[in-house]
Amino acid sequence: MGIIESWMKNPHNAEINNAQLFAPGSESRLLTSVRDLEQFGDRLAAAQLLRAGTVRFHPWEDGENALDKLERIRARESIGILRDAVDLTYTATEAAQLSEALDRLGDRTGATRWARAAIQEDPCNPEGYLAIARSYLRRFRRNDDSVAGLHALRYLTKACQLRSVHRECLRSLAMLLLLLKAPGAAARVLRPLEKTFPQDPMVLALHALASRIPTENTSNIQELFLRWETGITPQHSVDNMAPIPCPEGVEAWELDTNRSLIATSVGADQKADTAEFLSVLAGTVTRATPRMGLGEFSKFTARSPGSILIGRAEPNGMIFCRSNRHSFEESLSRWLESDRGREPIR
Amino acid sequence: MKKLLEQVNELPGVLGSMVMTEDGLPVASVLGAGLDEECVAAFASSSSHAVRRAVTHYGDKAPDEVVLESEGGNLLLLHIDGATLAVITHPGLEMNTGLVEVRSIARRLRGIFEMRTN
Repeated sequence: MGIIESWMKNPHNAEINNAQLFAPGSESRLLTSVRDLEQFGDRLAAAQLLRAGTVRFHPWEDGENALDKLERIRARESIGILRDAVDLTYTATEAAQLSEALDRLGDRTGATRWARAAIQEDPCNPEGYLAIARSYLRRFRRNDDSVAGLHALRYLTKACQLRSVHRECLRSLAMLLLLLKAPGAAARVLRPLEKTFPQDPMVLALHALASRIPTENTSNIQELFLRWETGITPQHSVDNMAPIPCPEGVEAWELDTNRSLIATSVGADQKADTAEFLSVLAGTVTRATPRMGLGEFSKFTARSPGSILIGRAEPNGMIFCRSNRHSFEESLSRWLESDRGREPIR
Repeated sequence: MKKLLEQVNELPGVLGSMVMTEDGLPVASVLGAGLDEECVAAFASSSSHAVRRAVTHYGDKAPDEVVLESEGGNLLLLHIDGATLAVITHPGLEMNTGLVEVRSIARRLRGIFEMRTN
């Protein structure tokens, strides 16, 4: 078949067909479309479509391998031009592009160096932050690496703060939110793109994926991370809340191993958002110290102007106490270490 | 900034230190063997963020100091203008005397940040 016939035979009205390529079970059809685009020399469109496919059908090994191969070819083709560009007219955007190309070629050190150079050159340009974020996001997606996920979130948040309607920032943020099983938040992020770029393959893929995940019941991204990592969703219920006998001027809360609020002192706030903040705090510090190489978490103390919050790990969860008096710190610590005049609640 | 971090690390019991921006991006770090910069930055930042959100939720001011204690060491988080100094120490470090020294260096770091932002 000649090139002209192939061209005529193949569907080139991407606007109509792209959405169909993200329907369930369309992996092989999508790969065929990618190959067709490559055959016609449109590697950029092929890479965009395949990238979207790997997001939609995650985990999809064949797609990831094909994407790696294609991205490396594109990076090798462009690396010389990008190096010349940073040599001749050094801008943050060019440094960030070089960083992305190096990352595709597996040179993570070089990629980080150029991304940091981009940030240093223009700290208000989101491209450098975005280059780092995308590299971390890839690691998070492919290796389930929570450290990479946390860094991706930090850098993406920064990039989005600098330019709130940046197409790639929003797409990457939506991708991260979907990996964390937060289709509601992802849909809000995608909304401006659905209006401006309704046929963008990545937007279509993310939308198709979002519609297949049950809506989350929290907007706290740290809570989403904890759920992703532990598979546990805390259940806070004010019914059957046990009382904690507490010294005057002190509020206390106790959480179980699932980070659910199970007891409070009289008068302590039992609202859902309070429970969630404490639950996130318990989960975060508990997993932070072992991951940093410091072993099992035992206690934290937060000293603020005018208040103090202490948390202590217990055999079956965590207990928090708060006071407006700094002078209570030592006595609170002693109280937490004691049996607090009661049988353990559980 | 690195020089000040090296001074922090010279204090007895200190294993490493790092400066992060308010949004959790690492600025500079000098960490001892066995401490991974990516891990420390990720979890120090998420811990700092979680504590801050829980504390400010009550209408309290953001904490100046947070100390995380664990069986293998401590993490000190000192908030300086627009940034956080994270210091990792041995578990047995005398927190009161050690903190005095760290606070003094944190004040000098604050000076650097003020110079950068002015």
